[in-house]
Amino acid sequence: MALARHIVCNVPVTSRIAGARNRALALRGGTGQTRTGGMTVEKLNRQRIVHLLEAFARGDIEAALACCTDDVDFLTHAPIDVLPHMEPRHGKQELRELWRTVWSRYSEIRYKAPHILAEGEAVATYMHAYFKKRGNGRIVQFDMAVFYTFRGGLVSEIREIIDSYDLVQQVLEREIGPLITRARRD
Amino acid sequence: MTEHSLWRFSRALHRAINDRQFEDIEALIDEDVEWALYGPIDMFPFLGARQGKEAVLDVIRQLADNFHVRRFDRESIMLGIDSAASMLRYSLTALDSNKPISLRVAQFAQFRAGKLASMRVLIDTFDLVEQALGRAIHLPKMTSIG
Repeated sequence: MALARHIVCNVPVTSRIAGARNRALALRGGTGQTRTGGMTVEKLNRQRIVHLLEAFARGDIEAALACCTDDVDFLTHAPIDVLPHMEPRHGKQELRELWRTVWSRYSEIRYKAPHILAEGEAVATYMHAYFKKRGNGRIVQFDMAVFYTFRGGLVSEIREIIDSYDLVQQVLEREIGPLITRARRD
Repeated sequence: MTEHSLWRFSRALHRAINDRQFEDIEALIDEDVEWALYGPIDMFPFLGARQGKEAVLDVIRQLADNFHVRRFDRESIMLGIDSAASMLRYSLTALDSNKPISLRVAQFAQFRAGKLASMRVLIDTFDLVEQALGRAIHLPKMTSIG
C-alpha cells in the first residue's frame, strides 16, 4: 500500500512490450509473469489499481481518472430505475460525471480488497465497499467484483458485478420482497 | 505444464450440475472450504455462505436439482498460482419451469493442494430475480438517493 502512493499512472514502454508477451502466453494457457525493469507487469498493474482506488476513495477524481485511457469503457449491472447514473459510460468525461454523481450522494467511501489478482494486462479485485449516504449518514455496504483491463499502463476497461438486489434494497432502505408480492396480488 | 486447478474444478462442477456425477467434484473440495454465493436466500435457498465440504456439496446438489448449464463463456480470466478470478456469462435452464436464464457471474477461487479452499461468487442478482419471476420488478424512481 505504501509503495502504491508513489505509483503514477504513466506508460512505461516496457509494459507495452510485456503486454504483447503476456497476450502470447495467455493464448498458450500460460500464467507466467513478465518483468519490466525490477517489477513484474502484474505487480505494477496491481499497484496502479490500488492507487486508483485510493484516489477515488479520498475524492480525488482527477487522480483516479489519470489512471484511465481517454476512451475508458465502464460497464456495471444495476437497475437504472433506482441507480440511473449506473448506465454504461464511455470515455473519461462520462466516467468523471459518474464518479462526481457518486460523490455528490456519498460523503465517505471506503474499500477493502481481500482479493486482488493480476495477470498480464488484467486485474481482478474482490472488494467490500462502504458508502456513507450524505442524506442520512447511513452506510451502504456491499461486495463487488471489478475487472480491469490495461492498455499502455492505463485502465481501458472496467467491468463490475455487484449483488445488485441487495444494493438496491440498501439504497432504497426497504425490502424488495413486498414489492414483488404486491405486484403479484395486483 | 501442469493444468491449473481451476480447469479441473470447473469441469467437475459442470459434470456434477449437468450429469449429476458428484464423485469428481467431491475429490476436489477441501474439507474446510469456505463458500459464498451472494444473493437473496429467501428466494434461492442454495445461495448464501457455507463452511465445509458437506455443506458445499449440498449446495452443488441443489444447483443440479434446479438448473442445467446450457453454455458458459469466460469473458475474463486471471490465474494465480493457487487462485483464479473469472467473469463468466452463464446460460442456464431452470428445470422446474424450463425457462432460460442468462447470468453474469464473477468467481474468485482459492485452492490448497489442488483442492478448492475458498470460493466467492457475485451475481447480478437483481437481474436473476427478474428472470426467475419472468417480469420486471417495478421500483420507485429514486434519482437522488443512491
